[in-house]
Amino acid sequence: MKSIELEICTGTACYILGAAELLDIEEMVDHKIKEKLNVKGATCCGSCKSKSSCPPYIRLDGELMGAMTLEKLITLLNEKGGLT
Amino acid sequence: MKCFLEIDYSIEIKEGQKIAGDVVFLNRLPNEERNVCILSDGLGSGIKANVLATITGKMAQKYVVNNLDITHAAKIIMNTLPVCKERKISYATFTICDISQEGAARIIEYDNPSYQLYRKGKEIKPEKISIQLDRERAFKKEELFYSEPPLIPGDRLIFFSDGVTQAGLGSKLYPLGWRERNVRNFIEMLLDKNPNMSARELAKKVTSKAKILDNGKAGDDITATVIYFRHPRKLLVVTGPPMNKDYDKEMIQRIDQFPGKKIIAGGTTANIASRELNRKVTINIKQRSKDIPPTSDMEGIDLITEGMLTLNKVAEILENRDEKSLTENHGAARFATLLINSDHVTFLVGTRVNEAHQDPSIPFEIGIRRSIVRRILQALETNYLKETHFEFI
Repeated sequence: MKSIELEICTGTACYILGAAELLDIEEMVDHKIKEKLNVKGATCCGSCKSKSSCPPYIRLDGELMGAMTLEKLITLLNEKGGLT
Repeated sequence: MKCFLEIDYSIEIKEGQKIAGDVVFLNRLPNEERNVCILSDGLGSGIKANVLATITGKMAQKYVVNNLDITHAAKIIMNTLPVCKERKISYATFTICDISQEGAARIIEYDNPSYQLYRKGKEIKPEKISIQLDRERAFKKEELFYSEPPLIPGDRLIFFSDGVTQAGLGSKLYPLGWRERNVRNFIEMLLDKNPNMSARELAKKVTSKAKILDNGKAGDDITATVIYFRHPRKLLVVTGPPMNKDYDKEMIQRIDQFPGKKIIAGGTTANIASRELNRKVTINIKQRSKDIPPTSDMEGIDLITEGMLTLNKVAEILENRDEKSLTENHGAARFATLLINSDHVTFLVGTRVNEAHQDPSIPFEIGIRRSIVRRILQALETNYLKETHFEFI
């Protein structure tokens, strides 16, 4: 069973711009996804400081993504987990 | 190491009231190396008693802080403040303690239960002088008690209102109330179990026990103030990267070698520590609230938190003496608890500007690091009588 590695930034900017809600992801996903999901917090990688910054940032299986919302994340995880 | 006077208090409000009729005022006067503690119990309960106790306590505080001799201050208060026409007793009691940094105490008491002095966990009774006063309209001769118990390192002074000594009044176990000698037995038992119990913990345990004796509903305001002449507990807080990257290594060395507890506040700062000390940082995503980001762990550091949001909440908790928030499961609660349970607190504040703080979409109430740290230090000194130091690097 292939695991899905999810890192959610817990830095100041990301946290108040949405990461606080993203951290509830385990409660929100389908239990089939939850079994494969490995959620960790990540420290600030500096993306929030660039001119084109769009927090909150996550890394899904190593891929950096910004402007994340709970709905988008659930959709992405469902795709990864073969639920769509 | 020079001894420190840890001074703290606990109040349980009388059941059904929203405000206590007992007041405690504490002042640390670093320039004069002295400390002033006042305890006043107002007649009745609720807001009226609070006002009476506040008037009395404030007068005492102002006189003594401004160097009026405490016996003289006491006499002025006794002669100025009225006597209740019906009950013919004073509108409020008071105990005034003026104690130097070396532990030399001068105490004057009016109508509160006698204070207690503990040495090596046992009560010792200091000598007191009785000062008689005649007041019109009072039904009895008024008596003030003056004493100068000299404290040695390890000693404790405990002051309480009659809500403590009269706890459990009318109960089967203590029909005449808890009474001074049973309070003493309780305290001696506590100190026997934990000879290093902090002033804060002792004050809390005494008032909690008194409330329990009142069956969980305080029959009167219950107040205990403790002064503990102790070796200081040290804490170092590091927050913000140094202005100059060359100082990163030095800052981290200071953390590593510090003889006491350590907190790192801020992800950037934590990353520097992780790099320089070659230790992993693990984030505890479960220890957070909707406003306070998660804490992290690193070997050798007592607490790692996020920066601004956490520090801002810590400042609020300390400024409001918010006991309730201390029990919550997030970084600011743990941080504030560590601060309150220390005596010497040092803040090492890095001054490199964090670009993310300049983002206009972040609420401006966050403020900048320096002003929030200043608020924390001010609250620690004023509300908790801690000794604080800070350095900008």
